[in-house]
Amino acid sequence: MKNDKDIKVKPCASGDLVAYLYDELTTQERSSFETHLADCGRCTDEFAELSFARLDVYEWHRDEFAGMETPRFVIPYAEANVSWMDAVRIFFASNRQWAATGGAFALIAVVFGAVLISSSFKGGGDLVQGPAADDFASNRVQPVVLPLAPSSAEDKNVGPSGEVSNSEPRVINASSAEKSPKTGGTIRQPLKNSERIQSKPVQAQRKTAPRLNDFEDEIDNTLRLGDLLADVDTRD
Amino acid sequence: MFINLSDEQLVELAVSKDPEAFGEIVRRWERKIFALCFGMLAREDEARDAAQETFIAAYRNLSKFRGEAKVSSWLHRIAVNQCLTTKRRAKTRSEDFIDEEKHEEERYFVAPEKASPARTIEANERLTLVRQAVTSLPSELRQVIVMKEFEDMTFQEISETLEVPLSTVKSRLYTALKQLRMKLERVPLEIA
Repeated sequence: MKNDKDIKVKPCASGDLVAYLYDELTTQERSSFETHLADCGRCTDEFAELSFARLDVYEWHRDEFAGMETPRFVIPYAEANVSWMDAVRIFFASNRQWAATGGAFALIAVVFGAVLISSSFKGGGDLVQGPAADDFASNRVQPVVLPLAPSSAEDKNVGPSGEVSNSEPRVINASSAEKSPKTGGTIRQPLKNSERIQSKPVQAQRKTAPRLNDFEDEIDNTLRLGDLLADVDTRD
Repeated sequence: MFINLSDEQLVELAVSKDPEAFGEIVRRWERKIFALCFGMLAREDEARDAAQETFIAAYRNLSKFRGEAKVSSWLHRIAVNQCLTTKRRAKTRSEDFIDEEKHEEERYFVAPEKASPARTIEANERLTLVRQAVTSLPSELRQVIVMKEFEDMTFQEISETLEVPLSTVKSRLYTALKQLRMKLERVPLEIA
């Protein structure tokens, strides 16, 4: 163990003054320096000057910086090496809502794609297949055969105010008819005015279908070359 | 009234005729004495008490001042002795199993003194001057001040960081504080 006599503190050394000011002397060095300081007016004055300057810096630090919030630093480590997949992953990792939305869209796209692919393999081009589609195919609409009736007969069913009479029945195919709970067969329903109007083009189409027998001799009043030259005197 | 008188004249006046002349001495030297006590004790509350005790002791011993030394040196001597007494008392208290942790807490939670608005403005002006003074220091001196005061690094750490000898660190810090003192010499003491 060192004695106080062994501690070497140079009298009036600037280094010791600073070290004592910042409390960086050992216990024994400090004790020895304090003994010297109490007797040395020069060191006391020097120490007072240094303490005064240090107090200014200390107060400046305390008042301007101690209460200051430390800023948050964000360092973009290796930003240039991020691939686009990593960028997408980082984006979705940081935005949970976007990730959920993107996942939902991806699921919908997969389901839609699966339906599209399966329909193209089954139905040879029909978009909708399956049990429901089979029912639809079995109940496919047959051509509506309505008795051709003269327009006067049609007019009979229309009242003076335009309402349609319920007297004339019609046959509705299985797809549009309600099956009778008792017989299971078709039932007759009165024709509505709008349906009556829609059925006309069907009749007209069938009536005007091209058949050889449909052509009748009619008076042809078209101008012919012979008619033009009839009055021309062609004699020499 | 006492502004134009020297420290020695003020002491003479305080001893013979007007005890209130000592108040001017206190006003002139209170900050420096507090700084000295703070440098020795490193605690604001203890430094404040020691400075108070220093001026009380000086006032009681005014008649013993013979003018052989400057008033400032006389006050410094009293302050150093007062601080040494305070340290001895603290050491005795710690040996008597005084709770050291509580002592440490007091170090960082010192109740601030209520300052008047004028005093606050003066303190802000002084802070501005200190900032300018530190900024105007040469970079090698400024970095030592910042590392020591702001980063609270030891001399050894500063030495390793800057890759300079330990004695150079102490020398630079000493020079930096001396230059700061010279730059702030013109600042009136009543500020702050």
